[in-house]
Amino acid sequence: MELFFSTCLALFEPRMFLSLCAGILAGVVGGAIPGITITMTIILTLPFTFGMPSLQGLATMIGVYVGGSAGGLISACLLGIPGTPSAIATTFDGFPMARKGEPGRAVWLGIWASCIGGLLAGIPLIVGATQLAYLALNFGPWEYFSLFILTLSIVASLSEQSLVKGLIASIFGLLVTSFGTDPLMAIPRLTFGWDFLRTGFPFLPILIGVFGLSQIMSDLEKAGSAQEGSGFGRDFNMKVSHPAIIREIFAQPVNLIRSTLVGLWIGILPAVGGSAANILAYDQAKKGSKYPERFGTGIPDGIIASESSNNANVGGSLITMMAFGIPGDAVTAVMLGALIIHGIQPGPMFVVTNAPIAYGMFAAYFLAHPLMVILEGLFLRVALPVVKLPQHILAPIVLVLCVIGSYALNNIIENVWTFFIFGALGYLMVKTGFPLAPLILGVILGDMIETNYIRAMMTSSDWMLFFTRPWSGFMLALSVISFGYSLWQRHRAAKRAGAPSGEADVEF
Amino acid sequence: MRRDTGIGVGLLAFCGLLYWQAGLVSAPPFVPIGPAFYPRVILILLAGLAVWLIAEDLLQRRAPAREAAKSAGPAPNYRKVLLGFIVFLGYVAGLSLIGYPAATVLFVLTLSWSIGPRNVRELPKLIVIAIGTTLATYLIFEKYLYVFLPRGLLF
Repeated sequence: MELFFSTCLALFEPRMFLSLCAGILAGVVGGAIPGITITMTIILTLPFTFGMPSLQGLATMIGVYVGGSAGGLISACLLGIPGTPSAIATTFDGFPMARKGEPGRAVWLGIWASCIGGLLAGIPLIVGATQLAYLALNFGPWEYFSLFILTLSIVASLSEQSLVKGLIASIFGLLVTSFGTDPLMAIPRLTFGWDFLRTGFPFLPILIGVFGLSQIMSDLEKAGSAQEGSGFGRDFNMKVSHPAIIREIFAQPVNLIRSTLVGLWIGILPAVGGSAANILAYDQAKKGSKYPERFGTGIPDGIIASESSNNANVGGSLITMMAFGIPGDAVTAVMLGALIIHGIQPGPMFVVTNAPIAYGMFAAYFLAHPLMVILEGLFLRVALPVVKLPQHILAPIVLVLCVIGSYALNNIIENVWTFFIFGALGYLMVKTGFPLAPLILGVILGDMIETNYIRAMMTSSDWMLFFTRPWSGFMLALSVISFGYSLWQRHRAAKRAGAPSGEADVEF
Repeated sequence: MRRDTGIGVGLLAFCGLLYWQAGLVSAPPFVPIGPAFYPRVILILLAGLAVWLIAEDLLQRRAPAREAAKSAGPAPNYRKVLLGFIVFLGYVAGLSLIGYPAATVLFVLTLSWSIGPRNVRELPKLIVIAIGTTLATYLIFEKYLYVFLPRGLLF
C-alpha cells in the first residue's frame, strides 16, 4: 500500500499530471466522436508517448482508456449515435431520456456511473493482478503454452461470426509472427529474400492498420449519411444536481454491482472488450428488473448498467494484461506494445520486477476516474460541434496520425507499407466476416507460443507433460470445453433459427 | 464460385507457397526442433481450417431471410472506399518521393475533397485544414518529439 500511495503522489508531479489529464481529455474527445474508437484514440496517442518516461507514457494511455470508455456516452445521449461500441447500450435509454428534456440527467448519470463502476473495479484490479501474477510465477513453459492456447481458443470461440473464421483469423495471426528470424536461433525464414522481412512484421503498424485503416474505410462506406442533422441543436440545458444524480445511482446497488461485475469479468476474458460488456450488463439489468418493459424508454437503470460495466471492463482488461502479459482487448494490446518499446517485458514478472511502474498504473487508474468526471464535464460545454465533425474532415487527419504512429516506431517507410497492407487486409476481413481480435491476439502470442513450446520440448521431449502437469492440463481441458461449448451453442442457435449459422452467400 | 469457397481455395494456395518457402530454411544440427517446424505446423493447421471453411460453405443451404435482411438500410458506398484506398496508396508512395510536408498537404486536401460533398465554396476551408494539419503534426513530431519525418524531392 505504501508503494501505491507514493506512486499516487508521484502522479501529481506537473508533467505526469498534465499527461494524465491530456490522455483523459483525448480519450473523452475520441470516445465522443462517432467513428473514432478508443483503440483508434490510443493508437493516435501512442507516438506522443515514445519520448516519455515509462510511467508517464502508460499513465497517459490509461487516461485515454478511462476517458474513452466514458466519452462514448456523450454522443450516445445527445445524438443517439454511440461514440464507441462500449456505449451502444447507453443509447437505448440515454437518448430517449435526453429527448424527453433531460439531456443533463442522461449524460451525468452516465458519467457518474462510469466513475463509480470504474472505481469499484479498481479494487479487484490491485488485488487480482498481483495475486494472479504471483500464481503465474510458478508456471513453466508447459503452462504458458497451454495458457496462450486457452486464450486463443476463447477468443476464437467468442467470435460473433462463424467459429471456423475466428480460428482462421487466430491461426493467421500466429503465421504472421513466423515471418523473419525464428525467436530462438535467429535463423531467417519465409523472407522470400527480402531484407525487410528478416526482422519480421513489426507489431504496432499491424495493429494500427488492422484497427485504424480498416475502421476508417468501413466508416467511409457510410460517409454523408444519417449523422448530420440528428440529435440536438447547439443550445440545450446540461445543468443538474450532482448529489441527486449520485443518490439516484446508489439507489440501485444491485444493478450497479452486478453491472460492475459483468464488466470486470468480460474485461478479464481476453479480447472480448467493452462492446460486449455494456450490452450484456444492460441485458442482465433488464432481465433482473421489476419493470423490464420500461427499458428503452429513457430510464436511469439502463444508463447505469451500461456505463458502470464499460468502465469496470477497463479494470478487468488491465488485470489480464498486468498478470499474464495477455491483452484483455485491443487497447491493452497497444499498451503491451508500449511496454515493450519502453524496454519492459510484459508478463507476471512485470508486477514483481517493475513494482513502481505497476503500482503507478494502479494509481493512474484510480486518479483517472475523478479527473474524468471533471474533464468530461468541461468538454460538455463544447461537445456538440466537436462530435458532429464530418467524416471527410476527420478521416484524412486520423490517417495522417496513423501514418506517423507507424513510421515513428523506428523511422522507416516500410512500417507505413506494413500499415497499409494490414489495413487493407483488415478491411477485407471485416467485409468477409472474419473477426479482427483473434488475428491481433495471434500476432501478439505467436512468438510466445513458439518459444514456450520449444523450451518445453528442449527441457523434456515428453509431450505428455502438457497434459499431465496440473495447471497445463487444466487449461488445455478448458480450451477443449470452450471450443466444444461454442460448437454446441452455434449448432443450437442454427437449429432454432432453422438455418445454418454462417453469413449470407455472396458470389464473386 | 462462392465467396468463402474462394477464400478457402486462396488460403490453401497461400499455405502451399509458404510451406515450400519454409522447406528452404536450413535446419541447424544438434537442435531437436528446427526453425521451419513451427511455421509448418501453423500452415498445416491453417490449411485444415481452409478445408473446413470450404466444406462449411459448400454444405450450407441458402438462407432467404438473411438475403432479405441484407437489403435493408442504406447501401455501402464502395466508391468512396476505393477512392480512399487509391488516394492513401498515393500518399504512402509520395511520402518518400516528395517528402512529408508536400505529400501530407496534397493527401489531406485530395481525400477530404474526394470523399466530401465537393462544394467549391468549401475549398478554402479544406486548404486551411490541409495546411494546418501538416504544420501542426510537423511541428509537434519533427521539432518537439524529434521524429525525423520522411524526406523527399520537395523537402
